[in-house]
Amino acid sequence: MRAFPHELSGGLRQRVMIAMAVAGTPSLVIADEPTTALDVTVQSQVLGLVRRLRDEIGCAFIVVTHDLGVAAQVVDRVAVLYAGRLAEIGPADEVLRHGAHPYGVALMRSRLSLRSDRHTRLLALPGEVPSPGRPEPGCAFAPRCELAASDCLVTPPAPEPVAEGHLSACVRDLAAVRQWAGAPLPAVETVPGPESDGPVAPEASHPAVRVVNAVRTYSTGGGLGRRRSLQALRGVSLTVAQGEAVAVVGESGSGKSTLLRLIAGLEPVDSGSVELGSAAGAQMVFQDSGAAMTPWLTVGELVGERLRTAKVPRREREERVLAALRRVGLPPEAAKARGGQLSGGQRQRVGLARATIVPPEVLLCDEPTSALDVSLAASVINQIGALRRELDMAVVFVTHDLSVARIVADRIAVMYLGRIVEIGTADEITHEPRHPYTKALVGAVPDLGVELPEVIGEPASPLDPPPGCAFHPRCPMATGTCSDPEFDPRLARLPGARSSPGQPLSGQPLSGQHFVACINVRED
Amino acid sequence: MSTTLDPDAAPLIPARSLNLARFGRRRRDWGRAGAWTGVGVLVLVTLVALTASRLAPYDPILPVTQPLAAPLTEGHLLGTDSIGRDILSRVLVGITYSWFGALAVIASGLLIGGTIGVVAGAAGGWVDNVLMRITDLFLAMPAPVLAITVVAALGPGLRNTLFAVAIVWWPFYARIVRGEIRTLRARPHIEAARLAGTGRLRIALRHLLPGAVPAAVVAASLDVGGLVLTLAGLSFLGLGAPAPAPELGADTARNLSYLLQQWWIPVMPAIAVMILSLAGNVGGDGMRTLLDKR
Repeated sequence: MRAFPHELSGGLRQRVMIAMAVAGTPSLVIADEPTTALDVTVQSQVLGLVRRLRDEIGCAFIVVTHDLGVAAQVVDRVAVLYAGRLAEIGPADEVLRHGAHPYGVALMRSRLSLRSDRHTRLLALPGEVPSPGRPEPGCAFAPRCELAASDCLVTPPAPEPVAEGHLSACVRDLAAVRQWAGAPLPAVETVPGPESDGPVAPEASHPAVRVVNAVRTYSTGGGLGRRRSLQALRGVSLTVAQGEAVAVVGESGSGKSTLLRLIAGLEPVDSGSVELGSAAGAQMVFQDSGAAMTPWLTVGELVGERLRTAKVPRREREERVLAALRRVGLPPEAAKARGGQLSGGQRQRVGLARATIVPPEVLLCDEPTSALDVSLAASVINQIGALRRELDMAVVFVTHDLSVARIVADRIAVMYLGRIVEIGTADEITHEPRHPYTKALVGAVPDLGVELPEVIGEPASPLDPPPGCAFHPRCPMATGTCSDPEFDPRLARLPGARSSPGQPLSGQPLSGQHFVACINVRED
Repeated sequence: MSTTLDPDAAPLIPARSLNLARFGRRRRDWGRAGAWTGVGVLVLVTLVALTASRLAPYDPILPVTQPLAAPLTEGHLLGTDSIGRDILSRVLVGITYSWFGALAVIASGLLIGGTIGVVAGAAGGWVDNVLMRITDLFLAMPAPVLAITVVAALGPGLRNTLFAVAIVWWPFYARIVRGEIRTLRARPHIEAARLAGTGRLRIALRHLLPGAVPAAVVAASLDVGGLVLTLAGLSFLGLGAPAPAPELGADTARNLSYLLQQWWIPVMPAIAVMILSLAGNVGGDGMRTLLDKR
């Protein structure tokens, strides 16, 4: 009660906002993207709170969100809007499972969940949301709709009932939409990874990245001249094989972005080492692709900049720039545009073109899809996968979204407070998580028909990590040993997993197998 | 309570708020038009200054008719001074001196200050510290005293006065440019450029400098008016070009004794200074509206 807003974490602030909103017992509360900036564990807490309040106070909620999983958690009815018009409205379960409007169906299809097929290309809508400045006659979705016909272009369709309480604004009849929705998606080649190729010992092939026991500490001004140290990384080891994709997941403050910046060479390590496999080096795709573009330079100048560094003759540069843009699906005219004239998805593609015009050894992606709509995110993820296969790059992909990590990566590393607490293949982590923290993360991913368990507590502050296992204050399995300051949980190969003799129990995961840093798991 | 509140009676959105949006738009349009007018004034004054010697009906140095003629007599629009020189001609040529003097000081200030600001901002560390302390040193110098010193050392003349003012003028721009560069340097696009392997010089010139230009140009154009006043003031103190040269400040000062009898002799050049200064400010405001996106 005596705290100022800046002293609270994001989740607590959001709870304060909700408390303010319901303080006068209103009949309606409007929640505009209430959980977008929050970690999944905190998100599940906030969603649980919204649900409880609705039941206790009995007020109506309008929740605005781009995340269909969040919608499925808290609402009774879902309205799908497109270009300022209602596309579809109906009971949540029906709209989300059996959409009647092609746009609603497409949205659900491009959505990622822990059950998405990893070997299928994600469905991404072609084209872009129409500009609100020039509304076209007819159905606004028609230019992107596979079912569109000439009658779609005449007048905007009015919402018509398709079922009890379910309206859809589409002139195609329901059966046609349902049939289209049921059609299988085109499959892509399977992603080569440890699963399909069997265990690859990274020392045998040259590892693309080898991080050994990296430590990074920032010192922050703590007010009144007190200096405090923020332990962003507390001894992280990670080896990425050539051509392998590793996702790093964790809540904010887990040090995952710091790890990426160390690999990129944007920051020095305090102790430990970071080695790259070859001179091709690391390139990064930034989270805020707009801010990563110099506003007054054209896309062509920005993308071509690395050619200058690589001493490519001037004559070849323009051609290579256009080729790089074509590879990420941008038209040649994009080279003349500046960052401000592009949409979010286009900017992210420019970021990809810039990072891959001279193929790097490893492509580092810092939450490249977190600011994008589902459909755009899907197309960017497809693009990263295609580039990786075409250029044989290793990929390190930082995300807070496990369902994205699962699609993108061969292996997933889970970080908590500057340590990797669990690492294994994508399916092992998402389907057989062993560390209590990973279990909490996996359980907190909102999805259709999934009851979210509430994870207790907030992520601890990296300014003052708890002694022993840093997760023990929030851990349901914690014992006395876990909080012992002498106790230092290290990654250990999971008993029962394939293990090659001679490997030490602690330290490097060498062959894409499952390693966990938790004593309770080891003693199972 | 006898009255009941009917929820349907009150309109959901007050009609007034709809008009507000339109009003806002109209004001913005006016703002842009005004800004272009301001820049137009700047261009006009520059054109007048460029063509002043041709626009001037008489030789500004030589007496052309009887002295002390009032304005609007015998083709002398602004009258003549104590020895019969045409005041309009003197004012027009004086405008050239003042205007281009001010522009020259600003251009040199932008050049020197901009360079120092970019180097300090882009390099950071001890380079930044040393350069900014030097800048502070120059900033601490009083312009008139320095001008008197320079003129005393090098002899009187317009060029020496401009030189003296330029010495104290650039630190403002160095500070503005350095501040802008420091802000830009923390932005992700610099990190992206570094990661692309771009050299320090190219980062400074291509990724940092263009971002500092609008702020520096806005500050400089707002300075034109003040600089015209400063230069006129120094020339009023006798630190400008020597006697026969037509200079606005000096003409006012030398003819101050005529203020009560033949008021136009000192007042006309003063009015010219006022117009120049006003044009500088209006133009600077216009530039700010057009360039400053924040």
